[in-house]
Amino acid sequence: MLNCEKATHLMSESLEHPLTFGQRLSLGIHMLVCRMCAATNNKFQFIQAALEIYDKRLAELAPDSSVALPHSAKAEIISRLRSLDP
Amino acid sequence: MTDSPDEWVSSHGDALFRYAIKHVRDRELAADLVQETFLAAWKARVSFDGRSSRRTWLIGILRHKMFDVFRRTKRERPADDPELFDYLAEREEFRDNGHWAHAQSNWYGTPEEHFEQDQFWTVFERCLEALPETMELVFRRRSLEGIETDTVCQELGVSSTNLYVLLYRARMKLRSCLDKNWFNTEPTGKSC
Repeated sequence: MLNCEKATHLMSESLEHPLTFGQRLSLGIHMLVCRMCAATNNKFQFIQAALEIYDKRLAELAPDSSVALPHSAKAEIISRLRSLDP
Repeated sequence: MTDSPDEWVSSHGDALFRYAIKHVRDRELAADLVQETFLAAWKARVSFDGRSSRRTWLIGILRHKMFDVFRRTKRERPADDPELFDYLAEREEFRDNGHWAHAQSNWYGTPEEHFEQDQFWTVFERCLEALPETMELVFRRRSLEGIETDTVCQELGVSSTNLYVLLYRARMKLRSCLDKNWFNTEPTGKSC
């Protein structure tokens, strides 16, 4: 019989690779009878979904953000890029 | 072809810098990473096939650069990095028989209701940043970038079992952080 600690490990692993039939079955049964593990599984799924959106937001940050690459660094990059071309 | 070094740096420089600084938290290192990214991208620009946006392509290269840095620093650390093998927190979650030590709450609302609030993302980011560095980087590498488990294991020199444990701990920590700081539903009382 799966205990809660092992069940939470399986939940996490299910986000990494497909579980075996036996693992899916015992985890499914465990979550049917254990509301706290079912809640934790929902939290793991929530976090997984949030991570994807978080990364998209990072890549699309508003252009007026106060964090900017310093001018000197930009100038250096441009001159180094130019020097790569013959 | 409208590509020019000036156009690249003015269109994408700030965005790459902000992305890098979120991950490495060091302005100088972030600026270096952005420079390396532009250099590599410029050399490889004929291979850019336009299937994704230029920004996405540059960010992909930046991520590789960030992970290279992480790998270099990782090698200099002892193998029994306490960040990797921090069992203490986990022991507080469960009793010896593997049952929850505290009652677990339900998170209210649908994920979307939370995701549309800017404040949620501030809290979420703080929770990510509160993870131990190794854990955070591996978690980002695997969960955000979808890099294959085998590849991450090889890069880090850890077994897949250790990798799964690391990702598990990152999830558990993020979950308690959100319990406490966003849902305000810290576990209380008895579990059964």
